[in-house]
Amino acid sequence: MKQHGSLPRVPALTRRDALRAGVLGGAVALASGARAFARPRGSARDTLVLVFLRGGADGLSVVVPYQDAHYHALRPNLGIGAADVTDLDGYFGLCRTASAMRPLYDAGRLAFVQAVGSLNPSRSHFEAMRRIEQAAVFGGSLEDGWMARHLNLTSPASSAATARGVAIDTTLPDAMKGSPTTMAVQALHQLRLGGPAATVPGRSDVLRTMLAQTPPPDGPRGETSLRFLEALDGVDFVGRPVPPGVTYPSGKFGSALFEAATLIQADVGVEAIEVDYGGWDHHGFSGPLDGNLGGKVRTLSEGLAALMADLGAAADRTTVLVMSEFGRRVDENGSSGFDHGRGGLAMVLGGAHVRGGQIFGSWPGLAPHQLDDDALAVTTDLRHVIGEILERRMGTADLGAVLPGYSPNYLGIVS
Amino acid sequence: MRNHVHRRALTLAAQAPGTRRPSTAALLATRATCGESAAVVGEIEQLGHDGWLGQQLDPAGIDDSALELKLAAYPWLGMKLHPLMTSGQDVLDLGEQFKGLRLLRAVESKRQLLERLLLFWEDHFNVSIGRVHRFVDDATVWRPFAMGRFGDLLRAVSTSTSMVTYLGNQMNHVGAVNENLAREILELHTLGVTGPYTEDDVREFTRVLTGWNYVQNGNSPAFGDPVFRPSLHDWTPKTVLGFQFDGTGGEQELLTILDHLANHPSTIRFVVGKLARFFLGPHPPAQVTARAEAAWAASGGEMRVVLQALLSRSSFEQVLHRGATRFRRPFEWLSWTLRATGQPVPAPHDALDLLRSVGQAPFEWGPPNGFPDDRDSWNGLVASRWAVAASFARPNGAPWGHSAPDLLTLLQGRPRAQWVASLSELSGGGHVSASDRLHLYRYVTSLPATMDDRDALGEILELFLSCPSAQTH
Repeated sequence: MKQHGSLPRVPALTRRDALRAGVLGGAVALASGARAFARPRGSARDTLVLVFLRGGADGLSVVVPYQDAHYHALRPNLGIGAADVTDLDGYFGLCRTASAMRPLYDAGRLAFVQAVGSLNPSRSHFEAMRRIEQAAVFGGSLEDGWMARHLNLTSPASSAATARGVAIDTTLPDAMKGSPTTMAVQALHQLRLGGPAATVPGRSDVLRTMLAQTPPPDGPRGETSLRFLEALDGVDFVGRPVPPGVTYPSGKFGSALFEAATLIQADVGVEAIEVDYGGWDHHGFSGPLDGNLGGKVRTLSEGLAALMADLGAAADRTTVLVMSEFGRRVDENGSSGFDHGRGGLAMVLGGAHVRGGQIFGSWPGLAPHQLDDDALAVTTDLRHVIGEILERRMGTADLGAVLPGYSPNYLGIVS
Repeated sequence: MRNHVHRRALTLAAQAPGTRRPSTAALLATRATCGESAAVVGEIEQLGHDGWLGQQLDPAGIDDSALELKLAAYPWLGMKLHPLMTSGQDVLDLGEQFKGLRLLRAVESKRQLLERLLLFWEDHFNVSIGRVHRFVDDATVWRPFAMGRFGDLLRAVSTSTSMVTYLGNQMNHVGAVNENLAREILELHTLGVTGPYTEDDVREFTRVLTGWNYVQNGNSPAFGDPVFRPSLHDWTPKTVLGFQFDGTGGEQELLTILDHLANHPSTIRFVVGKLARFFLGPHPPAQVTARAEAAWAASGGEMRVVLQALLSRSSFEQVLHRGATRFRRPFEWLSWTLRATGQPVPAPHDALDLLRSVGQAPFEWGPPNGFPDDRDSWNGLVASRWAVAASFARPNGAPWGHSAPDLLTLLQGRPRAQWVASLSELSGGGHVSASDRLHLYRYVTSLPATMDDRDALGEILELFLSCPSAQTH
């Protein structure tokens, strides 16, 4: 069933590794080289890749209720019909913009969750994101994010770990705030100390000493960054070969996924990688098929397909969660776009542990009385998805503290 | 000028090697400017805290001709859209240069408080540049109103072509609405997300905003100017934020709502809170913010008066008492680096590359909330600064070119044991901690005597700019 398991896995070996191993070339010889930071086997933990579609992605243009008359009545111009989907279950169809993901769905490695979201009704981007990332559904702000709490409360999966949560992002996302083991970097290939190689050890030492004497949060987080940078020495984030047929989409998102795969294969003890994909706020000129929105869905699905194929066997210890802060209104607005809504789409991808090929969640329907103030209602708490992954795949030690006030009610998306 | 600064700094360094008692003047020098330096600390000492502040609160009274002369090399700054588009210039490239020039203004303007305040408004009223309008509007919308009445700034921004197109209001028509701008004015620009408005207010306010557009005819000299289009406006009754409009008011409806929002208590609390954190750091003293809120209410939102309340000596004494530092955002770290070391600002494209490398290129934050201003958003990205510091300290032909020879000339005559103290004084003193200075001192004095001074300077300058306390102010 897992056709992709047979793809040749190319380890993230660089020339320096090859030299270390005393070999000078040849894929076979390279593949036998040993990584300096191999994770102890037997760890049941996955690396979580969290893809946040910031801006409020329109899930109805991906997993399309194309057989629903209400849908077409509310989207007379922007509704997607039978000609532009491949059927999923007789009611939903996968939009052709997402066709790159179809083989993953058919292979059972991709699951959708429809009408999912935060129970907090805010239609503000920033409030909705904060509530999801802090897992603070109601009430005031929490000081930290759910991923940070998970890392703080759960012992490291690897004794070699430096940074345990890495955001490939412009700033550290709320989900990762509050743990000394998280950090952010715009692009992993930029992570290195410059200057002459001869003085790198000396400069690292003085930096380390100064950071060790700096109070939290700056000091510990700086130490994490420095140790992570050192652990990545020799990992090739630019020229690593990918298996035949794997092509990441061009642009920032594709590069970030490529770097995420490189990081997973480098096996340096990172447990969570956040990859931001922004720009989903399609109020106008959305173009669900061939316009801006359609292009983004295409990039997303081609990127995810490339990631899974690139990961090869490592997909069995990787879980990818794709989500957004909310979905959009069902009715199209006057600008060929959609205003802020409620229920959205989440996706879970991985290896054999994902019970894919299904659409999870309880469908609320699109009849007028079934809508939440013109939007798809939220019938599945996003925490059901997050909680299940944390408990079944991430070895979380104290779910009650990671997701305060949450009572588990899992959907069975992962084993 | 620069040599004067350096001479002075070295004199200071000789007097008090590496030590400086924190004072409200030193804190003002770092929080009210785009980066402290020996020169600005000297100015504040000379004029006194409140004297310097008073001068900065009247930017028009400050001679900024040296910078203006440099900016004159970019005659398209301040041009309107139509002449710009018909001038045959590559406007996308001009947009890139505009971003890079932001660093020049921050580093070299004598109107330091105004420049720092503009960094605040650029985030509060964020418009990312993928379009031309933002830099066209800079000279007529953001800059002139920055230190005036908040209501004037709010009105200018809300109806500006930049904001209208950024948040899609040019597509917000009667019967075909788009609520993007309405929501963000309420949530991000005025009342704040916890403010007293409902989803119904968002929808009604959206109808108020119908018809606010811009001149789209590329052949018109008015191309790109804001315009109210009656034919696109919804002329039916509306109820928004407690106001009942009978539907005949047209453009007056928006002006009424904006006037109401500009001095609403929730707006005052929200914007003063953001300003206080931006200038004073996290958890500003409640007494200080209360004084600034009262100043806003009493003055009708005059920013000069609000800033006076926030930044006065008596306010800074309370801030100083708390001792909390603020984490420099990447732009602030870079502008401080250049100001502190007296290095020239790179040409616009190179400056933009540098800003992108440290992770905060101006006008490139996509969402409408602007770059974040909390410690945790940024302190996990210090590694990119280390890399920039390494190349900045050893230019080796890099485009930002070298002037470390200046530093070298200044430091070479002194024993290496005094270099850290000298660098610390050059950068305004105080903000690099004694502990960090000690470790830097140990490192530079342990370098082999045979190492070329140029290389040794590269080592210590990089580490000085990378050390943990240099990331805060």
